[in-house]
Amino acid sequence: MTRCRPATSLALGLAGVVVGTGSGCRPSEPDRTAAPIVQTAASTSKPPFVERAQEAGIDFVWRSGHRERFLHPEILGGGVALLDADGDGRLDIYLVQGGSLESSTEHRNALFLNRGGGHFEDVSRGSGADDGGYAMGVTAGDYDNDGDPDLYVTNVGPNVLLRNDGGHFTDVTDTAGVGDPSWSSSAAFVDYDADGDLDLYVCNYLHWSPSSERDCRNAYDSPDYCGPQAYAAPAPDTLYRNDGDGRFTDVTRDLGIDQSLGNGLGVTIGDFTGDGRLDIFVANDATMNLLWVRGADGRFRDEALKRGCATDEAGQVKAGMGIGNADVDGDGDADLLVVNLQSETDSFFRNDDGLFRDETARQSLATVSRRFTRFGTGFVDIDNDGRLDLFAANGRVRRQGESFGDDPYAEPNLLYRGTSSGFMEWLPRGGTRSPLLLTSRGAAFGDLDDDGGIDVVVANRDGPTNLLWNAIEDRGHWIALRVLDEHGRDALGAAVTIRSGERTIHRDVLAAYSYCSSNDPRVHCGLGDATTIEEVLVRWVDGAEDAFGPFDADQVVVIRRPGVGEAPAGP
Amino acid sequence: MPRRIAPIAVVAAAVAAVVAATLAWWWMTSNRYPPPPVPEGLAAATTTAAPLIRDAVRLVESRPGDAEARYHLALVYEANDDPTRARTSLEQAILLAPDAPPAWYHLALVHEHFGALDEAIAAMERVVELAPGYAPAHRHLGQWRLDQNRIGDAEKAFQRALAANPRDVEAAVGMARIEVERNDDAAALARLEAIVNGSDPPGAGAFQLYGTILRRAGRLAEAGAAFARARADAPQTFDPWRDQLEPLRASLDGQLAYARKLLLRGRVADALTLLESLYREYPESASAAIDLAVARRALGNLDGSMALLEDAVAAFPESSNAHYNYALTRFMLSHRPDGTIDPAGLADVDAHVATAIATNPSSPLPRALQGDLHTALGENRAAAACYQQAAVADPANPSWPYQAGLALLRAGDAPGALTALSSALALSPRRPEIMVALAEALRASGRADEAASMLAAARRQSSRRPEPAGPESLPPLPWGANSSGFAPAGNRQ
Repeated sequence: MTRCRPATSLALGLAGVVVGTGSGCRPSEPDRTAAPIVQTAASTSKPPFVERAQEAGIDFVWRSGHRERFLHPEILGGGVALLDADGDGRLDIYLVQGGSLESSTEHRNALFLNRGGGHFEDVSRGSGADDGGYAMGVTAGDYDNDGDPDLYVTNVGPNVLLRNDGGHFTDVTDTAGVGDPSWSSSAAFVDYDADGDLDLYVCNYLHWSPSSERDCRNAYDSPDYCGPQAYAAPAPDTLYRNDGDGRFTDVTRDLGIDQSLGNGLGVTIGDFTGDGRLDIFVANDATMNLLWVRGADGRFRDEALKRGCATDEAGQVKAGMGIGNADVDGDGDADLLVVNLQSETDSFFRNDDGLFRDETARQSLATVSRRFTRFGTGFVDIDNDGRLDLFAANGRVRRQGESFGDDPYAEPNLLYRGTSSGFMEWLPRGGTRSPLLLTSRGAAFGDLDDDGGIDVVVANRDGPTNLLWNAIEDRGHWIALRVLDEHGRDALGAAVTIRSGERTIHRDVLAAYSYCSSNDPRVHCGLGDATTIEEVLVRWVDGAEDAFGPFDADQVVVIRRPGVGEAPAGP
Repeated sequence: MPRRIAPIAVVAAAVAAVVAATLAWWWMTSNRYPPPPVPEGLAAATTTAAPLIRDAVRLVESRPGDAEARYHLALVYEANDDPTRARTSLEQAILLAPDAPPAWYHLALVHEHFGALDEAIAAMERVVELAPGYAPAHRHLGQWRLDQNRIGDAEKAFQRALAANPRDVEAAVGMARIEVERNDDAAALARLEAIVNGSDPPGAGAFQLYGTILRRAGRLAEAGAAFARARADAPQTFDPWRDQLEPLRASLDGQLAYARKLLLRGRVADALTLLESLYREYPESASAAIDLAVARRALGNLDGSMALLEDAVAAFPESSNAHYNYALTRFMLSHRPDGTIDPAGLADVDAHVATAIATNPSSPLPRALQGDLHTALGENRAAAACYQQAAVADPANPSWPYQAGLALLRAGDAPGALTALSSALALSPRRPEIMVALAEALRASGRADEAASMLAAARRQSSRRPEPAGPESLPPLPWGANSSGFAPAGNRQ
C-alpha cells in the first residue's frame, strides 16, 4: 500500500482542526476484517445528555396548529437541519415550522446561528431562511457548488429550495423547478449520476388535502388522527436531476421512480449494493420499503423485496418512519435500521454484500422499543468507545393506553449503548436525568461544540425543541472528518475508510438519515483508546479514491479533494 | 295467650330484612368486586360498538363475581380497539378465576399490543402451565423468545407448539428461523420447502425466509419467485381463543371480515345469516351487498345473487368488485344443464368485465374471468392471453400460468404451453396437476422421455401420504376448544 504524506494542521475552535489535501494515492482494497473494538470506561452513573435548549438560546416549538379537526399532517412534523450556514466552521441549527392548515396564522422556520460557547442566536428574520409554509422536514446540501450548504424544505404543499449565499438565503424554488406540490416528508441530496452536482430525492407521504381528511376515532371513541390506510392514497416520490445551471429536471418517470410507491417518510443514501453507485433507501409507512438501485441503463429499479429490506423477516409491512444508516457490524457495508410504530419491532437489516437480513432480535432491538412509536433515529458513537450507539426520538400518532403526561401523544425517547452483543438500553431512559416526555419527531445528530461528543437536537410537536448536550466526561478519543469535494462542498455520498491501529472503520459522508432531518455531514468516529489515525481513504462518488493522513486523534480534520491536475499539497 | 305481633313490627322486620339484603348485595358488589371499566358517556354513545359494550357491562354488573362475564367484556373491548379497558377487564377476570387460560392468553396478547414483552411472556408462560396442549400459546412464546434472541427457549417453545399441533405452519416457520440463526441453511431449506409446498398455506414470512435462503444458495430465479409470493395474507392458524374476538368486532368492516372467514371455513349458512342482517343494516354498503351476493351464490342461489348484483352495479358503478361478481354470476347462469353455454346469457358479461378491469387494473380476477369466457367459447389463444395478463397482475399465483398453459395446449401451441406451465411449476413445484399438464406439453414437443419422467413425478406426488393430523384431530382440550375455558361453579356467583 502506498503511504501518504501527512496533512497540514490548522487549529480552529474548541478542538484542533486539520486541513488535509489529497495525496492522490490509490491504495489497494482495504482490509474489511472488523478488528476488535477498544472499550473505554464510559461512566454510567451520570446521564450522557443534558438538556440545555433554553440555556443555549433555542426557543422554538413546532406548531401543529391543531384545533378541532384532526388533520393528518399535524401529527407527523417536523424536522431539524444541522449545517454550517454562515461558513464560520460551527454547526448551526435550522428548525422547520408547521403553523396551521386551517388558518393563515403565520409561523415561520427558524435559523439559529452557533455563536460558540454553547450559545445560539435566532437570526431568522432577515436571513431569508424563514419560510412560512407548513413544513414537515428539511435537508441540507450545496446544490450550486458554491461552498455553502443550501436548504430544501419539505412542506404540506409546495416545497421550497433556499439558496445560501454566505449565510443569506434566497427562495429559488421556481427557478430551480423543485416545488413539488405534494405532501412531502423527508428529502435527500444525492449525486445519483455522479456528475459532480447534487440531485434531489423527495419522499412524498400520501395524496391529501384538508377536504380529503377522514374521520377516525381512537380506542376511547374520540376523534383522533387516522393512519395512512384510511386514505389508501400513497403518493409517488420525486427525483430531481440537477442540471448544473441552477435548474433541476423532474426525472421521476424517466428513471422509473414512479414504478413503486408507498407512504414515504424516511430516506437515506448509500452504496448498499456495492456496485459503486449510490442507491436510495426509502422507509414507507404501512407499505413496503423501497431500495432504488440504478441499473446500467441509468434507470432505477426497486430491489428492496429481492434484497430483503422491503419487509421484516416475517414478511410484515410495518409503519416505517425514521432510518438509521451505518456500518454497525464493521464489515464494510452500510446496514439499515427502520423504526416503527408501537407494538411493532424495529427492523434492523444487516447488509451482507448487498443482500439484507433482518437481524433485529440478534441486535437486541426487538424488545424495549416496541412500547413506543419511534421517529427520528441515528447510529452515533455517543461515548466514543468505538461502538455505535443508537438514539430514537419517540411520540405517538394516536391516543392509546396510559398517557405519560398532559400530552396524550408524548413518550420518552430511547438511548441504547452499542455492545458486543447488540444494543442495550442506556439508562436513565433517553439519556437525560429525567425522561423528556414530549411528542418527538425529527432528530438531528452532530457535534455542535466541536468537542468530539455527538449532540442531538430533537424537534417536538407542540413542545419545546430539545438540545441534548453530550455530557459524558470520560469519552474515548475521536476524530471528525469534514470531507469536501473539489468545489468545497460536503462530498455527500463519499465513502470513508479510516485505519487506526488494528481497526478499519467504514463511514459515509452522510446528512440524510433519521426522520425529516439533516445531520452533521462530518464523519465522526469514536476511537476508544487509539490516539492516531494512520490513513483515511476516501472513495468519491465518481469512484476515484484518495488517501489522506496520518492524523492525530481528537480534532476536526478538513479533507479536500484535489482538483483536476492539481498537485498533491505538501505537509 | 300468645302475644300478638304488632303489624308495625312485621313491617319493621321486613324493612330490616330488605335493608340487610341490600347491604349484603352492596357489600358483595361494591366491596368484594371492582367495578368494570366503562367508557365515559357509554349510556348515550351511538358508536357501533356501544350496544355490545353496554350489554357486556350490564352482564358484569348483574354478575360481578362472574369471571366469564368480565372475560366477555374484555373480549368486547379487545375486539373493538380498546386494549386498555380490555387489559383491566382481563385482570379482573383473572382475580376471580386465576386458572382460566384464555384470560391469561388474551392478557398476553394485550400486553404484546402495548409492546410490554416481558409482561406478555409472563402471561403466556402461565397459559402454557395451565393449558400445555394449546399450540398457539407455545407459538407466541417461541416468536417472543426469538425477539429476545433467546434461541434455545424459542426452539423449545416451537417444538412444543408442533407437538401440540403438527400442522401449526407458523411454528414450523419459527423452527426454520432458528435453523437459520444457527447457520444451518440446509435444514431450514428442507423445512421451508415442505412448508411452502404443503397443503396448509403459510404466511408471507415463510416465503420471505425461503427466498432469503434460496438467494444465499445462489438459486436466484427460485428466490425471485419466493419473494414474489411473500405478499401472502396472514395464514389461517388454528387459534379458537383468538377467534372468539371475530364475532365481537362491531364495525361493518369487522363484521364483514368475520363473514368472509365464515365463508372460508365453509360455514356458508352462518355467513349468509350474518350478511343478510348486515345488508339490511347497511344498505348503502357496496361490500355488504357484494359479500351477500357471493354467499348466496356459494349456496347455489344464483338468481338471488344476481338480483343483488344488478342493484349493486347500478348503485356502485365504480366498484370493480361489483362488476366482476355480476359478470361471474351471469356467466354461471349461462351454463345450461348439459354443460354447454347459452351465448345469449353472456350478452352484457364482456362489458362488465371490461368495467371491472378499467376500475381496478391491478386485479387478476376479471382478467381470469375473461379467460374463462374465451375458454367456454373455445377461443383458446385469447383465453391464454387473458390468463397471462392475470399472471402479470398477480405473479405469485401459479393458477394463472397453469390456466394459460392449458389454454395454449388446447390451442396446439406446445412451446408456449411449456413456458407457461414451467412458470406455474416454479411457483408451485409439487402440484401434480401442473406436472401432468407439463408432461403433456413435453410429449407434444417431442420430448417423450422427459414427459414420462414428469408423469412419474406427478404420480409420486399424488400418492404422497396425507399430511399429518391437524388440530381437528388433536386430543380434546380440558375445557373444549369453543368454550371460554372458565372453570364452572366455584368461580361463579
